[in-house]
Parts: sequence; C-alpha cells; structure tokens
Amino acid sequence: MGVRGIPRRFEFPWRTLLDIRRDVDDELDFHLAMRQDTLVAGGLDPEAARRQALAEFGDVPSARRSLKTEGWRAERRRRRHLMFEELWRDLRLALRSLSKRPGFTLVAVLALALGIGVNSAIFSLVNLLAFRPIQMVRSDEVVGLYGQSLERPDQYRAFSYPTYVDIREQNDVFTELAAMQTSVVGLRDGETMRRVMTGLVSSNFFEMLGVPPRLGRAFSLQEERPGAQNPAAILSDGLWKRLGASEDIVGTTIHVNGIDVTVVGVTPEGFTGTTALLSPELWLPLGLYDRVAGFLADGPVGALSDRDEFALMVVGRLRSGVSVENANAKLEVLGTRLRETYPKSQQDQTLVASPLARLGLSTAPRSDDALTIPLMLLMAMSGAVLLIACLDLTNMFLARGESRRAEVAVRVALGGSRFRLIRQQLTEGFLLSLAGGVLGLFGAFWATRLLFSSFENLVPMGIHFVIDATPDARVFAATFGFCVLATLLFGFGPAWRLTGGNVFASLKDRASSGTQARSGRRPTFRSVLVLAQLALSMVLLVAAGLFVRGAMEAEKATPGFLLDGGVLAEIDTGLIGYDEARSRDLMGRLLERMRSLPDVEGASFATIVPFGPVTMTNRVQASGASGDDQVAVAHRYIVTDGYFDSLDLPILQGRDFTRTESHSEGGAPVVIIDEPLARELWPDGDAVGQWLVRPVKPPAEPMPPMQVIGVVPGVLHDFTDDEAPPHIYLPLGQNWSQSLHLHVRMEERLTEGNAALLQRVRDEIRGIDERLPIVSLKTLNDHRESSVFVWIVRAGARVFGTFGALALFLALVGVYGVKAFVVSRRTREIGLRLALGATPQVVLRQMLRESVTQTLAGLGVGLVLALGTAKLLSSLLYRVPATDPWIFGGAALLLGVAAIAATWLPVQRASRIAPATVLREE
Amino acid sequence: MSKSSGSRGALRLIQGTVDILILKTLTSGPKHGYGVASWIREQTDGVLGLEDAALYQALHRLERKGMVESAWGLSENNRRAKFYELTRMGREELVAESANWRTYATAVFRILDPA
Repeated sequence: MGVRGIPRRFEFPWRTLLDIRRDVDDELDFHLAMRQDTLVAGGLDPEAARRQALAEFGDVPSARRSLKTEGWRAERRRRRHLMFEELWRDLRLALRSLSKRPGFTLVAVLALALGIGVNSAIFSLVNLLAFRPIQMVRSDEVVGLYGQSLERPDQYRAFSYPTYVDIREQNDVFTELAAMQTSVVGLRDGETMRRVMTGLVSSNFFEMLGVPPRLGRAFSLQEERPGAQNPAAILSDGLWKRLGASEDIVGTTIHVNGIDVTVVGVTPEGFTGTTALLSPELWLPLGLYDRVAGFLADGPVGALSDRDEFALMVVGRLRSGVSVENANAKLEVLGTRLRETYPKSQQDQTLVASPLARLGLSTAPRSDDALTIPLMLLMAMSGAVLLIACLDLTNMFLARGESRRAEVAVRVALGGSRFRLIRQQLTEGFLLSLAGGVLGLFGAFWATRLLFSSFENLVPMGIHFVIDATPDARVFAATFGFCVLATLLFGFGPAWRLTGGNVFASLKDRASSGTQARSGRRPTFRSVLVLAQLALSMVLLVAAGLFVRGAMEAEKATPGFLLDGGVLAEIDTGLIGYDEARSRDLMGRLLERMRSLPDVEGASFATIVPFGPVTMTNRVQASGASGDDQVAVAHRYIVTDGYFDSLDLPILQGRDFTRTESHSEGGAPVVIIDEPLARELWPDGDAVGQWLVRPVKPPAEPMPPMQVIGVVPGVLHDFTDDEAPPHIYLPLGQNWSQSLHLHVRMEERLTEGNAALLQRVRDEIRGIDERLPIVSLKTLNDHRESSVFVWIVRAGARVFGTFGALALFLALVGVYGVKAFVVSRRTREIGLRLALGATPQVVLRQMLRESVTQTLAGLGVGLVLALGTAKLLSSLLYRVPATDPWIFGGAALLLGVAAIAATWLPVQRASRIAPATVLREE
Repeated sequence: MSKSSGSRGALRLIQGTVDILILKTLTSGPKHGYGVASWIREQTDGVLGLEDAALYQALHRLERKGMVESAWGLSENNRRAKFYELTRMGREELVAESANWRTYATAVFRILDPA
C-alpha cells in the first residue's frame, strides 16, 4: 500500500507474536498520549487529562488483551493460507513442468515405482513378521510361564493340568493365567475329512487376552475340566466363513475326530491367539484333550488329569504394575512350595515368566531374534534397489538441470530466492515419488499376494494356512516415508547444484554454449553416480545368483533313495475316531491289497517321510554303555516290513521285519538301524544282534532293550542335512501310530500319467474302506516339491532374483541416460574432430573406451562389496559356497555386457554426427 | 471478542454502525486510530459516546476483513503511529452499507414522523 509521506520499513512476510504485541501496545499508547496532550492543551492538568483519556477509552487492559489475541489468531490464519497458496502454486508449476516432458516423467515414475514398490513389498513382509500387533488387550502385560529345571537352567518343560490349576489358584502375580496346547484334528468338511490346526485352551483363555468371542460365549469351567462331557467348540473367523458365515451358527454341530461337537462361539476377525502368524482354525476346551491331542504325540497321550502329563503351555496376564522381574521373584517362592508339595512330579522344577515371542507360544522362552538378520538383509537389499532408482533420478534431474541452467541463472539474478527454487524442484520430485509410490504399492500388493498364495497352496501336513497380506496403515505410512526419503535423496543434490554456483559464469557459459568438453577424461559427479549404480547392481546380482543356485540345488536334492515311481498317501484313522484294533486290521488289509496288484513293486507304511515337515528323534545308546558321551540322537521312523524294499534300499546286514513284528503287538522288541548309527555305537563290530536302549532319567521307568536285527544304508532326513544322520526303524506292530504314510512303488515302465496313477491308488484305498481319511496323496517327487523348505528356498530365489533383475534394469537406465546426455553435450566437440579428419571409427572407439573403463571400475567396486555381502548371506544359502566363482563371474559378465550394450546406441549416434551441421550452428 | 461495555448515558450504537463510521472517516485519506476517534468525536460532538476500545476492535476487524490496510508511519508530531487506509473493498462496502443505512433510517423516520 502506498501511504503518502510514510517511509516504508522492510517487512518480513511473517509477523511474530512479539511483533503483534508490540504493535498493539504502541498503537494504544500513542492514542492515549495524543488524547492526553490534546486535553492538556485544552487546559486540563496532565494528571486529570490522563484520567479522562483512560476513561474515554474504556477497559484498556481488556482491549489490549483481546486485540493481541485476535491479531495473533489472524496472523496464524494468514500464514496457513499463505502456505497453502504457495504449496498450491508449487504443485501447479511442478505439474506443468512435468507434463511438458512426458518421456522424462514416465521414466522417472517407472524407476521410482520399481524402487519404492519393492521396498513396500518387503516392508509388508517385515510388518507381518515383526510389527503387526497381535490382537489382544495390553499385550505388554501378557507373558509366557515356563517350568525351568534348577539343575540345567537351559531345560524347560510344559505343565500338567493339575499343576497349572495349582499355579492359577495360588499365584498372586497374574490377573488371569490360561493354558493352551495345539493339536491337529480331523474336521468333516462336506464329504471329506480335513486336517485343521486346533488350539486346546483353558476356559479363561479369551478373557485373559481380552478378546471375547464375537458370537456366542467363551468356554465354561465345566468344559475345561478333564473328561468333560458335552463337547464344545469356538470357530475362528476364517473357519466360520468357510462354513457359510451364518450368524446363527452357535448351537449347530460340527464333527471333529468322529465326535459331535457343539459350536458355542466365533472369534473376531483377525484374532490369532498368542501368535502373529499361522493361528489355529478351531478352538476346543482342554476337557477334550484326551480325545483329540493324539496327533504326532510320542506314543499314546496320557490323561489330562495326570500330574505327570506335561502337556500344557501357560500364558498369563500380569497384574498391572507388576514387572516380569517382580513376578519371577514371587513365582520362585511358589515354585519352591510346589516342589515341596509334589516332590516327585515337580522335582527340580522352578517357575519362570518371560515375554511372549511373536512367532508363538512354546514350552521354552523364545525370542524373535532369529528373524532379525534375514529381515534386515531383505530390507538392506530392497533399500539398495531404491538407492539405484534414486541415482537414476539424480542423473535425470542433473541432466535436465543442465539444460535449464541458464533459465535458473536468470531467475536467481532477478532475485528469485534460492530456497524457493529448491523447494520448487523438491515439489516436482515429490510428485514423481508419490506417483511412483502409488504405482509401487499396487505392485507390492500383487507381489506379496502371489508369494503368500504360493505358500497357502502348499498345504503342509494337509493343513490350510491363510496369510492376511492386506496392507495396513503401517505399510501405507512406510511407503509414504519411502517417497519422502527418495525425494530428498535424489532431489536435493541436483537442486542445490542447479541453483548454486556462479550466476554470471552460467550466463556467460550460455553465451558460448558448450565450447568445452567439460566431461572429458576427468571423472564427473555423474559418472561417479553411474559407478555406484553398477557396483550396487553387482551386489544384488550376485545375491540373486547365490539364491537361484541354491534353489536349483534344492530341486536336485534327494534323501538318498529313488523318488521316481514312488507314491505317498497319508492316512490318519484318528481323524474318524477308529480305534487301534480296527485301524490295524484295515491297514494290514490295505497293504495286502496293494502288494497283490501286478504293477506294484512294493508297499509299506511309515510314520515319517524324509524331507517332510515332521521330525521325531530318540536318544539311544548301546546296552551296557553308560554316560552321556555314548548317547546318540537318532531319527525314529516306525515302519512295516517291506519299507526298505518300497524305497529301493538294500538291507546291508541282517534281515527285514517279519509280518508279525510289523502287525502284531508283543514279541521281543526289535530294531533296524542305519549305517551312521551302527558306526557311532559299534564302531568296530557287527551291530546285528547287539542291544539298543533308550536312556531315561532314574525316576522314569526304564524301557526294555531292543535287539538290532538289521542294518540299512543311511538316508538324509532334512534338506539341510549334509550327511545322513543316525536313524532307528521300529516295527509298527510294537509301536502303533494312527497317522501313517503309505509308500507304494510302482513299476517304472508305467506310462500312465501321475493323475491316473494317483487315482488308481485312491480307488484301492477307498475299496478297503470308503471312510478312510486320505490327508494327502502325491508322488514322492511332488512330496519333495511341496516341502516348506523348498518353498522357502524358492521364495528366496524369487525375491532376490527380483531384486537382481530390478537392480540390473535400473542401473542400465542410468548407464544409458548418462551416456546419451554426455554425447549430446559433446556434439560440437565430436563434430569438430570429425571435421578435422577423425574417422567415425576413431570417435566410436574412444567413446566405447570410456564406457568400458567406467564399467570396469563399477564392476571392481561391486565385486568387493559383493564379496562382503555374500559372506553375510552365507548362513542363509543352500549348498552354494558364498564365493562361488561361477556366480561372481556370471554376474560380472552379464552386468558388463549389458552396460556396454546400453551405451552402444548413444555412442553410435555420436559417430554419425554430421560435422557440417554442427559447424553451421556456430 | 469482548463486547464494549457501558455507554455512559450516550446513545448505544447499533451493531455495524461503527464500521460505517470508520470507513466514512477514512474516505478523506489515511488516518491513525486516534485521528479516526477524534474526527468522529468532533463531527458528532460526542453524542455517539463511542468508546475508543470498541473503535480499535472495529478497526482491527476491518483490517482482517480487508476493508482497510494499515502501515506504520510518523504522526504529525513525529511519533510512530499506525495509519489506516481504505481499500477498494472498503470503499465498495461503504457505498453499499450507506445505502442500506439510508433505507433503514428512512423507514424508521416514516414511522416516527408520519407525514
């Protein structure tokens, strides 16, 4: 505004609170003083004049106060308004500038979408494993309770139901103490039986977590007690939906292990119990323990009421204000009391509380540390991809800045604020990042969905798992964070460079547009960026190679016997509630039937399958030996006669089990061992005829010794075994199990397809008993394929392979972009040289030489970094040496050739420059 | 915003009237707050009994609304004072509000002094 005759002061756009207060005071003081002066001039004495001025004014202090408050409020409004206005102006400018260069914008958004998307995907994985809260109230108060051995503090034990009830009733540190055990039960799902992961819980389990059922009620104390009648069940949200999602489901009946069970409740969506992943589909009260806990148990399960049936994991909510340390001090006292009351079952036991691990409740305290290193590695690798993408963007902005240098110099010269110019550039970058982030988020969701559904399709042990991969607020926030981070990474440097420096030099430079080849031989900032990109991609390519190689190794791995021609059917008579006698009869008839078929070479049963998800081990030693040193840990397989035959394994010494040993109880205990165990226990003698015992601690009943009747070759049990571990094979007759795998070896010359083959086996099983639950039926090769381990190795190969491919692509974008830019800047120089007689070949060779030098430098740095990274990865690799020369060589070759190829196009263009055109432009 | 209190026996001012008076006062050129107050006082012989506190509230409110602009300058006796000046929006507001006022006053007079 122009107030005539009033000198203008320099004014800051923003006024401070102090400014406002001072202005109000000054204004009012001026008024009062003027009025007083006028009145004095009219004849009043100064004191009276002052009083009258104040009286005429009204309430001065209140006026001051309200004017200041209002002034400050208005100022804040004005600032907000200004900020939005500027932001809006920046955004419009940015949009206009980006839409003027659609090619630039497209490449930038694509690079950022890849870089940010891969980070969002990895973060949603990390979120799922490490961050997403478990649905419970005040999770910091919930701790696990463990029975710890006094003598060997690294040994923990679960609790028996009577002991759990004692602790629940006698402790003064928990508001609620709940017990839980997981099991797998057969659930009738339409016509078929389906294996379902089940949580057996105490009545207060849901109340302890603070998550009551959404429909119906929790379990009653009656239902929890051993041997409870009227079986009840609570469905997970997932199972409820699978069964039709009816609001009236409470009161209906489901069939579990052949028992009719009444549905009394449904848990809320997202409830997973005490673990973050893979929660039970069905909840049953502890009262059903005796009837459903048998799955995979080591022999028949005892009774829940038995004080020596250590079956329960215990988890409780601490009273508010009680720390874990406080609780442990009090629990120690309670532990001593229990030891005195039950000297036999509680011998050597004390109580320890410890925070819960995210991955679930266990009989021993666990921590989530095992996850930390792989997750950090994943995040570092995906971060490297984003870094490469950011370097692309940096280069693109630098190149664009080069062409805008003159324009910016003019704006700076005309008084444009550098801060504003930088902000403008960052706004543009942030818009690109946001667009990339949105696109990347879609990609990330798609990719994680793909990864998790491939896991869900595995159906290990016939159990369906569902992983909820929906991105939550944390994933969105992290993606936004990646956008901000990326913008600062790629935006600030070029903006600073562009707006800084000598304005006049830039203007002069413009007048003599690029007479000088500034990027001659001296390494420029830009070529350092490309070098960094090449080095980082080298690291990611090597990691990808190591993981892909591992996956290829896993494809080839066999346990040491023939997989081809083998068919595997998992049958669990427990799922339909058949008793042992009935099951034995059926299984015996089934074997007969299979063996009688003309193209079947062998058939047998086994409890455990190599490369499967289940492991059972026993401590064994030679009879008569003593001391811990002579104890071997052996995998325990319970099998029938013909097992080795059906795997095409020879019996090296001694004999196979007899039909009687395989199918009838009683008889002298016998065992077949493998070579590794024979070597370990009887290194210099014949193992056949020796006696094997399972060492037990004194209070437990010693088991009768078993005579070794045969020795077989060693086989691997796990994918990760480097050599065959010791095995013992026990006959099914003397060691019953309701969950069995039927091995069938078909003649290899069979040409019918797998599907027809499997159908034939299914029909034969059905022919014995229509109701027999076939949990799974597949070829031995498919069994290997569907292993969780193979999935992990493949997922690793896919994830790291994706990292490598993205890194390679983004680095090539950088290499190409910079070369193209350099060539366009050196058009004049090249034109002159051509005019002065240089042949295009000479120019071509020189430009290529520069590319090669740069690429080699990038590869060199990358090689060093990759060696370090491979060392970090070595513990995660499967049968690949971390320094595998083929992988390092292959990665270097691929990257080198691709990088040179990416420079070929611009270099070619340089050699075809027409000197006349360039000179005319002069 | 605190309402100005008593009227000390003088006429109560109808809401919004102060704004018109101030805008009108400023038509003759930029004035500081004291200038506005004393001009109104002189023109009305103090009949309106406008409290200075209320006047300043109104001035600041008009400034926020964009009817007047302010700047610091030197008064006639060389003291730092805040000067107010009409904006275009203020001028338009004055025209519109004056018309309203006249219509309103005419209507009231028609009832008080039936012709």
